[in-house]
Amino acid sequence: MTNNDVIESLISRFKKNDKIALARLITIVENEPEKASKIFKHFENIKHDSYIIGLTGSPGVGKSTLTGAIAQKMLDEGKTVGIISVDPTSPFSGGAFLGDRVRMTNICLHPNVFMRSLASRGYKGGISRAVFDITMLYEAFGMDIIIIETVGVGQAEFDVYNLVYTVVVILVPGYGDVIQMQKAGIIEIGDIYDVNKKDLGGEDIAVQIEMMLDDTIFQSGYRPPVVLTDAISGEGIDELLQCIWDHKEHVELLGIKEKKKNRFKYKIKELIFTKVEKLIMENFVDENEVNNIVKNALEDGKFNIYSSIHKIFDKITLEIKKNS
Amino acid sequence: MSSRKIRVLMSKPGIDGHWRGGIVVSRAIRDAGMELIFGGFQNAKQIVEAAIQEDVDVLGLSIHSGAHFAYTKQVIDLLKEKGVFNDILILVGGVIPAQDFPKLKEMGVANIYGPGSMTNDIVEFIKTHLKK
Amino acid sequence: MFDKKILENIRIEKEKWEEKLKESKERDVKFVTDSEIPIKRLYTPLDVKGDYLDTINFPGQEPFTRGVYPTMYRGRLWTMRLFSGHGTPEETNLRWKYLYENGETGFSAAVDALTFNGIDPTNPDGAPEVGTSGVPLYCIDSLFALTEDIPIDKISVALVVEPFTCAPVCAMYFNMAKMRGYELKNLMGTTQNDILTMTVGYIPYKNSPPNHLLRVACDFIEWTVAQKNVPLWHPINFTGYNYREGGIDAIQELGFVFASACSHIDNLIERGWKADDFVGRLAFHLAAHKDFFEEIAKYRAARRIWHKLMKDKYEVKNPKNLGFRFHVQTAGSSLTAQLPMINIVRTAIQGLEANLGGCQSLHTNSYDEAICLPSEEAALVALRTQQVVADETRITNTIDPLAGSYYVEWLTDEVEERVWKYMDKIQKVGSIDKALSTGWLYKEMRDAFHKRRVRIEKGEEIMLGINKYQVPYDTVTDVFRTSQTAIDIEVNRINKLKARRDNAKLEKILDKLRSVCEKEENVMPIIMEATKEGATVGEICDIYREIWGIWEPPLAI
Repeated sequence: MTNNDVIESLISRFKKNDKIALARLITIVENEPEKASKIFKHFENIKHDSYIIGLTGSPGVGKSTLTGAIAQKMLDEGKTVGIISVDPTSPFSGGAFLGDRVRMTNICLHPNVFMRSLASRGYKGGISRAVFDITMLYEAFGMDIIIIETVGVGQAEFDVYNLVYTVVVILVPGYGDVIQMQKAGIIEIGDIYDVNKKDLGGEDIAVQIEMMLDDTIFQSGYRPPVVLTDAISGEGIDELLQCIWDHKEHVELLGIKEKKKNRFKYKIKELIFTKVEKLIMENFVDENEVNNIVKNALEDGKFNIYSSIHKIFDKITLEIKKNS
Repeated sequence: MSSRKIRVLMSKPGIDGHWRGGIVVSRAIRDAGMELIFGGFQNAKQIVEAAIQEDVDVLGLSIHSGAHFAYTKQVIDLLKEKGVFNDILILVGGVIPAQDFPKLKEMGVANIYGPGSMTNDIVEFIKTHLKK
Repeated sequence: MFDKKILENIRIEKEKWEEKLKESKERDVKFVTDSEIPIKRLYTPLDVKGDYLDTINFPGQEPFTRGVYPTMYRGRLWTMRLFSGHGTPEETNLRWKYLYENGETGFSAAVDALTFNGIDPTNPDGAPEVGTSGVPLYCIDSLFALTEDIPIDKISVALVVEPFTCAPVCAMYFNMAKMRGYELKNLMGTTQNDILTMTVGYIPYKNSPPNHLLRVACDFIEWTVAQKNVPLWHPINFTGYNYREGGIDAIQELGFVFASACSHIDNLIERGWKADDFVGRLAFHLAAHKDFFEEIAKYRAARRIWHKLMKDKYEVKNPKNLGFRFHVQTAGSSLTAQLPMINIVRTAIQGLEANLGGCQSLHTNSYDEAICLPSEEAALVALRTQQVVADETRITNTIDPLAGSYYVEWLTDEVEERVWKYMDKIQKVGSIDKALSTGWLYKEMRDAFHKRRVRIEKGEEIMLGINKYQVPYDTVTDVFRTSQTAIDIEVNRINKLKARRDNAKLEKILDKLRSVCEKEENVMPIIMEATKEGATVGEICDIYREIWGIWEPPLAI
């Protein structure tokens, strides 16, 4: 079979609700993003929208357990759920340890759920690219809800939250004080704050967040709630889910179009930047030249580094004009 | 530009808590630049469903309970039933007597790693024996 | 300990001696212990600090460095207790009797993974493992079968179950003993009941969170010893062995064990008990690993540390409650599937360490340890191995024969000092359940294992057959197979019990257990009632799960 035949055959199975085909198509968009358009053109008649939720928090806060618990409730309500769990790729080996599935063993056999572990694969914009494409596949597959779970560290991971409609930030006692959270930026992105592992003394941190939210002005009139949960005993999960539905209602009341616009705009810009960056790197940046500048900086002194780089910049401007 | 990564699922069939071996091998697989999905305790249905949804190239079963025949058979039967057996390289590791290697291979296991195995050998075998 | 003038002379002579050595070359290896304590070329009186009566003293006298009893092995040999169980309770009973006839002096039940995790054999997820790694003990009938024709009032039995299934399994044992006409107040034995074994030693399958495990472990200590229901029982056995096997070193082993013991003592003191009400029955289970002298120093240091902890921290009054009594198991992880006969040699040396260190009880491993459960032949060789030490070597003629060795005394001090420091480190994290749920202990375990693995791969830690004089993994050992019919037998046993018992009555008792779990009261009285009425281990643990939830331990790779 040619590549196209493979995709055709997978699409036809995909449309019959075959999870194996969905899994294979995810692999294709992840490894060969240029094929995404070949796949998505088959979905032109599909008008279905999923509601997309993001969960973020540091390693060890219990994100996956919480994701599993929320997904279980959604399944109980008769919804179909697609989950994407992102873990970091090691910058040294290029490998990744994806350990989220182990927390979701209980739900994974439900016919209405699909869960995929994703490695961030390091490169710029990489996470959101694959995540966006997978959400498109989930939407085409007919998922009611999509949950994206990531470790909230680093800019690239924050970017993922441009792709979702509701952001749940998960914290645990002992993570640090609210000042640290502010520094890390996580306090600004949440639509809902969840303090997990209540048994380790979550009340204190919940109060701190409440106080800080009280000092913030929310233009939309929506003030993020703070929920206390214990993912192990299941305590507080119903409340958290209610907060998610409340926020969803708020978003829909305001017009979900705004959120979608943001999502697509972000995606389109990112695609353009990626393309342009690639063009520049491939056509105008000569690795030898860069190495020469480094060599000179080491030998003759670092203070020449700017003038050397500007020489390259001049050339790039020139060449772009030539090509345009 | 294709950046295909080898994806491996590491599972502990059954309820026996000897995870060390599986974790050490998982770590070595990650350090070799592959993507390792850790399944932990899973029954055969959960293993096969995870292998399908994660679209893995390799399935590692870590078994220290002496029940390796029973669990491996359950998993392979189900992989065949779902039509994905031919796409996935199956490896078994743990406290497996050398006497049992031939029968496991006959069942469809590509290779077996008993006590004292070196992680480098496992990584090398994966790289050279992928089915797809 | 020595006269100042003598020490000064030794110092001068030693300098001269070292001067002469400058020419000689030493092998290019690191001279360090297994826990990486740097070791000098030679130890002399200059290295022995402290006063004899203060820090070493006589056996049976504080701080017990030389042993907990005044006569030690001249009075009574250590208990020869092989950890043993496979297939069904009936098969295990036969093995126990076989070992008893061959001179074993204590029993120890190795249970299967289902019994460890509170899973009944009717659950398909664990069914293939019935009896494969130990004896299945799922209901009271199993306990009758296990101990049939065994005089459990004369020989002590160790039940190796952990906090999650300790209450139901031990309650079944106590009920069985009562029905057989034994009085609980005379019953002797040990329950492992060690919170760290099924959390960091092995990964638990669907157990409850650590704070609940700590509480039920303490419930058991409270009910048996403090409340004097089974006053001679050892209600807990802090099992450093199991995590030591995961790669940590001797210092960490004692650190884990003592930090855990302190958390249990604190819990019981919070309940209103005094340390003297129960600490005399706390027991310990340590490893005998590869580093001969470090292990001996470890046992001697452990006695001193425990004494100090009891006396200074817990203000224990009764001198009988200050002694550190411990069982030893030779190191399974030091054994190889390659060259299995060499395992006999390794085990003999490790067993000797334990005896020279003054253990109260010893398990010696079988040479087939790395491949399967022990065959009858391998178990007998293991038993004979410690009998060689006991009956042929005459090491038992005198007490603590290595005391006074400059090296051993120095190393004992060194180990002790390092353990105190490590305990401080653990206690900064919090009580033992916190150290578990925060993942701290998992990281320690991971780092230790990884370090050891790198050492083995680099050849810095030698394992014959693996990284020196390699031999391929082969079929040289006959493999002992557990019974294929165990699953049917056990399902049948449970079904018969369920048909016999009064289910309506049991339901009411189990409802009471639910409420006891919710209120966090002591679970023992109601579980005694429930198991007497035929509740299975799985049924009781399902209630724990229902009320307390299922805990997934932190993953550290």
